[in-house]
Amino acid sequence: MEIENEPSAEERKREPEKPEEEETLEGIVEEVSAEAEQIRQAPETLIQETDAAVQKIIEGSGLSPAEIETAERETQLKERLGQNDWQLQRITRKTLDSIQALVELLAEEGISEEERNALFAKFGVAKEPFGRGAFYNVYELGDTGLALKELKLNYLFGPEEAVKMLARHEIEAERIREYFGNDFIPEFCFVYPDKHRAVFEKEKAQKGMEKAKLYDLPTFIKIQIDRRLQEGFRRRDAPEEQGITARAFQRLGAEMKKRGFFRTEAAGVMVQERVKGITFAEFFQRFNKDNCPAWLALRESVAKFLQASGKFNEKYAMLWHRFDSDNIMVETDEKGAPTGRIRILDLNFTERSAEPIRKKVNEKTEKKIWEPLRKAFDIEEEKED
Amino acid sequence: MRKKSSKISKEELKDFKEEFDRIIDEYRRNFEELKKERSNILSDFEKAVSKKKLEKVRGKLGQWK
Repeated sequence: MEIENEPSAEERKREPEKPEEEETLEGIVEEVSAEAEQIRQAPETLIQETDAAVQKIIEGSGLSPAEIETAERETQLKERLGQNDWQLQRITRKTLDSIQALVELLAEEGISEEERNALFAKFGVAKEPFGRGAFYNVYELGDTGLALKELKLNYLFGPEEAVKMLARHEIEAERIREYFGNDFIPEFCFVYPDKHRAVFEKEKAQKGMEKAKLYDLPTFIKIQIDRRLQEGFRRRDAPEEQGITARAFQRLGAEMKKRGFFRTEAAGVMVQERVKGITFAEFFQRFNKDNCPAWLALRESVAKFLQASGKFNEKYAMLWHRFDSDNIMVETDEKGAPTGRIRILDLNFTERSAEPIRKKVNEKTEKKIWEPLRKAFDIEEEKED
Repeated sequence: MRKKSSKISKEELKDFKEEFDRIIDEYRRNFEELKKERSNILSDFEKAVSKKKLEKVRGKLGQWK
């Protein structure tokens, strides 16, 4: 029995060729998105068609259910179709993963600096430390000096995935502590509901696994889509104003939204020491060598920070491309004066599964942050022997 | 004013396109193979059902003899 489906590879080849047009970045993304959509739907269509064909054979046979069962057993129908289903899902997933990885790389390579900055600003962690973030709802914990960050089960992550992600956040946070030492890191602990503990324990047991397994590209894309969705599409620019990454994520995001990836339950919490501080942008605006008593202490912290960052960024990449970001802050005392310490508030999303992207993130950090920091605090660059 | 994507060269774009095409071609080949295999599975099942039907008819004929 033949299964009707999309034209075969041979049939496609026979189709008249279109005149060759010059490739454009946006044209490629459009085309690939359309292909990806077809690929995404193809297994389901084929499986449905097969089910219908099996049903037709059964109905037209006039055999009893027991006889049909015997025929099914003799031909190993269910096992063979099950195996085929699995292989279909596998090739589909593999293909979509590869496409997403390439789109990601293309987007990273292709967008202008302005677009990229706008993108990070748009997808970035909320400026207000206490409130609603992309992944966490943040609450004050009375007068304990602690903040409770609740990881929401959001549009894309089911309970198990969300707990896995929280566990990965803990792994990343611990790694930052390992590289930078306690002085830079606010106290923190992660708490998981009992019902999710098994997933968490399993994830923790895999702490030593390869970094690519921690944040693979599809997960990274999911995260970005989710951040996009978190904005509720409210702050969208007109389509012609958007960069390709925004549009690609928007399209994917709209699809995920259409398929109903909405959840509100909490997956777990991170409790973190509250830090009083100002961004480096504000620090540079208000303070200098002459009016800041903690200048020398801060200079020492910056030097230590740069040294640790150098080692950390050999394998990972901390995202800090703007001095007005609150990912990394200058600690202040009750009166708002710098104490001389730097605190890293964003301990997550430091994995870069694609080496070219890790390099690009770090090159930008070098240009936007490290160089200006060395210059501002008169610190010599450490040269490798 | 927003700058248009200008960092990527035509050569690089062509490389990306070729890589996309390669991924999609590979998918189509695999998909076709699996589709053919499904047709074979269905065909085996259809044959087994026909055989059972035939056995049933023969059985009934045997009863009438």
